Amino acid sequence: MSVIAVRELSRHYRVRISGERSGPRRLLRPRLSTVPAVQDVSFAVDAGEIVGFVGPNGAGKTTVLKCLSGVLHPTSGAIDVLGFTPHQRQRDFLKRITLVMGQRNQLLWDLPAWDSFLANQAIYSIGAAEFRATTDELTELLSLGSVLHKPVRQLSLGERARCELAAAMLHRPAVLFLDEPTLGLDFDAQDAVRSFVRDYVRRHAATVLLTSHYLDDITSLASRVLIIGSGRIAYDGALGDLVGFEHEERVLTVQMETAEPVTVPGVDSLRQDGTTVVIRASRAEASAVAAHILNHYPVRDISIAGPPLDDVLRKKITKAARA
Amino acid sequence: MWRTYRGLMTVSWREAMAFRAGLVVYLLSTVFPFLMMGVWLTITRQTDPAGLDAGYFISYYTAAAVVNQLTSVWVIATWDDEIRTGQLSTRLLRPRDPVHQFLCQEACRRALAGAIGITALIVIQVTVPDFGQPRSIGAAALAVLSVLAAFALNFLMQCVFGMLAFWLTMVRRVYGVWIGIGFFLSGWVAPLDTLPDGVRAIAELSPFAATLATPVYTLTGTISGAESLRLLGVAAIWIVILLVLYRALWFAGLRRFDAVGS
Repeated sequence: MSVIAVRELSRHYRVRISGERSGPRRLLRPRLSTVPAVQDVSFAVDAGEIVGFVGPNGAGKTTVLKCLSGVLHPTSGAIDVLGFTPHQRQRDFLKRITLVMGQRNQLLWDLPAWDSFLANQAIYSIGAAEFRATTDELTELLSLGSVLHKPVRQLSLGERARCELAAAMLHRPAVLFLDEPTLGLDFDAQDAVRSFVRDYVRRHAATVLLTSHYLDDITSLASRVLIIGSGRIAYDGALGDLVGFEHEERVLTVQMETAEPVTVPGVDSLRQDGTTVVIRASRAEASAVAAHILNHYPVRDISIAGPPLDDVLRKKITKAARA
Repeated sequence: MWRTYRGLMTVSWREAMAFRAGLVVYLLSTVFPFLMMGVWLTITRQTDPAGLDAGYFISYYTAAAVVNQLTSVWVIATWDDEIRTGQLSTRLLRPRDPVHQFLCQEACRRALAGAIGITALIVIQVTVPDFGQPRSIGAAALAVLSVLAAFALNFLMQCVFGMLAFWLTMVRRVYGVWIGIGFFLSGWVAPLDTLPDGVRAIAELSPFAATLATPVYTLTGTISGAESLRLLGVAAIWIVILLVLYRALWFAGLRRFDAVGS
């Protein structure tokens, strides 16, 4: 059964046209243009699903999440989350969802995070016993023990991100909208956030819609992916299908001992900057290319990886646009 | 709702305490009422404005300084920043509107700053024989009510103007024009007793008199209980009008909120 159902959602922004002659008339009636951020987006998410929602910057991901969480009113279309219409912002709806925005801060800056938790306890009307049980659970899952009682301004970025996440989860939401939850975090902190989301979903059978530019966030958490480009859904399907197909390409990054020019027969996509060489080759050719370089040049280090998520997305979006 | 406010007040009080040094500095930097007191004392040396003596102006502006500490808010800046920068997004996710938290924060800041001022005022009223003061328990209760009304009016006026940030980018300046008018009609520049009857009547019907003159008069025992009730009635009407206006603008603003910057 669908927990989230979106039908033909569109959201437009009105932007003031700059660079025009100003004057009293324009001051009172500025000329505005309408920018479509999201157009005719439709999808559904079932209970307990973790869906990756990806796309380039400005594609409309955050706009969709804000419409789903009731922050923005849609220009047109219909949204149903847990049986509620989000922009009506009914209290029972808001008590069952959360939106975690990687760059947004809801903690009181000069007080310990614990005080923000107490404020949220009051705002969400969480009973004392439930509050104690939830904070104990979150403290364990996010390793918050030593940081909860330090002023937020004295926390590291990773500690703050974990506290933000905990503050957003105190009311045990059934639907999680996660917008770049690992943005700017180091690898350990990213891992901690991912583990937390996985454990939380397992314990509470929650539904998650997750945006991220980090491929690891998507691949380690989501089984299904929605790709949005220029405000439209370009792909909706299993992550395995997408990555398996698109990851035919490999990127070889080679650190040379010297800046000697490198050539590889049959390979056109080679870029060299001093001692760093980046080569794009098909998965089938990658081993042969690596062997050639190791046999013919002094190599300090070599790595082979799939292309960045941005490349995968761009290809998929371009392909969808042509279809 | 009671539990929500109890929790928010607890946290807001801790927040106010975290900034207590700043509040003390703010308290010490309150010069405007004393500046106006100096101007009026100079005038009383040369003439007898509206039959009022130096003692009246000393009582009036001392009480005005205390009322200012107890009732001045700056929630318009909070609204302006939250709406313009899109920070409001995180608050809209919560099942209580952000105004409740802002109200608790402002109330705790005022309580902390005002506690010092009100203590000083009571000490002065007890030790200085001719210093005006409420003459009965009922009058003291009306003084407390008028201070609360002044706080509510300041808060709601700023909330109404803060809502304009959904449409405008310079609401603080627009509010500056409004509060400029208020400087004259509230009794800051000149006590209402010194104004011509017609102007005084307009001032008393405006929302401004109740933000300063009414609480000053009740705190210094200048007006009768009946007069206090009449002015408090005007304040109550304005509180209702502003509350309705604020809610209407809030819902209209939410429909066009773009949550920019995130």
